Amino acid sequence: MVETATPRLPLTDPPWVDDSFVRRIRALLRTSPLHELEATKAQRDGDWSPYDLRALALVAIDTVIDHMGLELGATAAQVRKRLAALAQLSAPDRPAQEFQRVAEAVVSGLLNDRHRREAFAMRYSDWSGRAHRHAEVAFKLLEEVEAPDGSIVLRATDEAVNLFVGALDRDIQDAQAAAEAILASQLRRGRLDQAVHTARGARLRSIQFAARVRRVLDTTRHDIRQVDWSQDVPSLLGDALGHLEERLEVERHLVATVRDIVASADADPAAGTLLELIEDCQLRHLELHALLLSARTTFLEEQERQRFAVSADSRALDLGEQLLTPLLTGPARVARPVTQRFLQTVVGPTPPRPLRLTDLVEILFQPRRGGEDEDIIDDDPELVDLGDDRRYPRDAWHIAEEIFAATGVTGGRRLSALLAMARQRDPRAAELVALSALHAFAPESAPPALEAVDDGQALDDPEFGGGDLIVGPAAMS
Amino acid sequence: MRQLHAVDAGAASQLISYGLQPRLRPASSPLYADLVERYQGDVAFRDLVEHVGEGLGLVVLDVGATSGMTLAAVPGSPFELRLSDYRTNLSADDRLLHGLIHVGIAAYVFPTPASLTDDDVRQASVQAVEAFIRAACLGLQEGAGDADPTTDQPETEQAWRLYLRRQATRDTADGRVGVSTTTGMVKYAFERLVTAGLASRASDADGGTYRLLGRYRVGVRELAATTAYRELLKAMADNDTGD
Repeated sequence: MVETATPRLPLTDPPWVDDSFVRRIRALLRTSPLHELEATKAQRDGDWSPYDLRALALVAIDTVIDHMGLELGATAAQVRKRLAALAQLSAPDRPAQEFQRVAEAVVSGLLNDRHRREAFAMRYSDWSGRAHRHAEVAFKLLEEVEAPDGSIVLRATDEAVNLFVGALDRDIQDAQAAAEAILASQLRRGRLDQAVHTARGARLRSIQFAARVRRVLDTTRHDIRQVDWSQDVPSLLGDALGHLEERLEVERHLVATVRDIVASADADPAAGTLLELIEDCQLRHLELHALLLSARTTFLEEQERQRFAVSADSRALDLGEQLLTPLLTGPARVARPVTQRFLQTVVGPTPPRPLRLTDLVEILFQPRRGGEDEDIIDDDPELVDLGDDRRYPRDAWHIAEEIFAATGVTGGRRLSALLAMARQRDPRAAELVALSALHAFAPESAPPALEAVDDGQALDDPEFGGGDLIVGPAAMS
Repeated sequence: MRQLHAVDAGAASQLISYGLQPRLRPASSPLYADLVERYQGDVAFRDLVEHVGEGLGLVVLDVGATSGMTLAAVPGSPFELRLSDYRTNLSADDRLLHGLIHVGIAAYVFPTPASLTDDDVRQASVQAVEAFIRAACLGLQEGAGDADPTTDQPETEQAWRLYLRRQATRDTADGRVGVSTTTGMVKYAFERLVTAGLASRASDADGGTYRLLGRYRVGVRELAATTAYRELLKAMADNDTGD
């Protein structure tokens, strides 16, 4: 019998809520940074009423997701550019600078720059335990990460991918299954473009999944105690393995379906892309499989290796509370050596530089450096458009070109002869001929149209020195 | 374990040499990428690399496919950064302030212990960091509740007083930042992090906005913070007995 304050309403359900409620409220909360962006736009400098920041934020997330997994990823600048273009469509009469600011605000809001890029934290009421409790959900939407080439790109978190690509009521853990369910449904409806998009999502899931396992293994290699190998990791690896087997099965099925579509007479070109994507997805899953198989060995090896490792301090330091505040409070004689060590460690190892004579000369010839008050911020260089930066007049180029063109007929000629011909018509053309011959002899970039050969004969010329090269068209030898 | 040969010592040193060039990345050099992979997959090779590093006074903090190898110099190592290399002609107060500012940057960028173990790129501006340290100092001033007692013993003076005595900015004729102001020092610190391959410039907003890269987080997390913390505890204990 359920106790209830309103006896006239026969409640068929108990008053507490089910697990799905918790999942949905958490999903709902994850959209709140977008609403907040929109709701607080009135506080911005200027009238932002024409711009829909919520919609722009969704576009930003979409753009990031579209670029994930396929290439390196979208940079913040790329995303801002797209958003600025959309903002311009909303309010064509506004100054371009404002579009930039709007775009900047959206990206910065999604990164939670205001709170130093920490996770968004939202509180909600949870009655699922048959009592009320305040619970909190912490999440990120976008993050900046380093790409292997050193560029910094945006990444959507699992939560963001799930929420904004999939549906609201999905288990975060089950993202991979969600992605493939969407893909299969799109295939059934013949929505190939969409299916390509989803396949990208599925591939991304595979990459993220492998990254998670790799992270555990990396941490294990680094410090085995940071990883719970008694419970957490075995369960992660077990889950991953189960997941993988299921995924490989689903993808096998998908590949068969898409192959059929590709083979059909009026095949959509998107089908080919899709097939490649799913095949790549399979490949990544196989890689992950291999990774999982190696995990156990890694653990055993590291356990052996790190048995005698020196114990490091806990990494759970609160830098503000435990380091900065005590240093500020303490006397200078305590703070000085500690902060100095910190500085030396953090700025990193510096290779010692043995004194070389050339360095010394350079140092001595440097302009005098000012004292304390000299400024460290340099002026931006003034950039002036000089137009055509070729230093030689057009006529000189023509003459040089004619002379070289002639070697196409006559075959290779001595540089001295070419110089004489050029000098007769324009001394500046002679210089150009000499430089072109030099470039042909030792090309620095693209293969030149000319070729120059040095047969050892010296150049006898009032202006230029070196070998009297034989210069001709590139196919000469 | 596999038998190692002289040629492996060459490879190990090569990897250390890459690690000493923090702006190099495995993605830009196939050999570097190979060595990183070998380090990760071959336990015997990893031990060799770590011993070569140890011999040079270097600790291997991290080896990963994106950032490559991250090293730190132990005190006394020929690779240790000398303060005179950080900045010439520093007074005792300046040295303390520069060091505090580096601790301040780390504390600002990593507000929680958990943020030290994330893998995203954090961002901070010169103005935000300066304001953050200044606010912490002002909070301590309020707690102390006294006017600045002039002291003739600079060594016992509290560090926050020193920081507050220094101006955040000073108007110069052309509107630039004076280097001996705390803002100028924060700017200098960030620029040094950029030179060392630990940060990159994001924009000119707010006195200069910088992104802190993975190597920076690794350095703070794996060594700088814990070493400083240990030394702080020790120094405080020594100070107590010394008084």
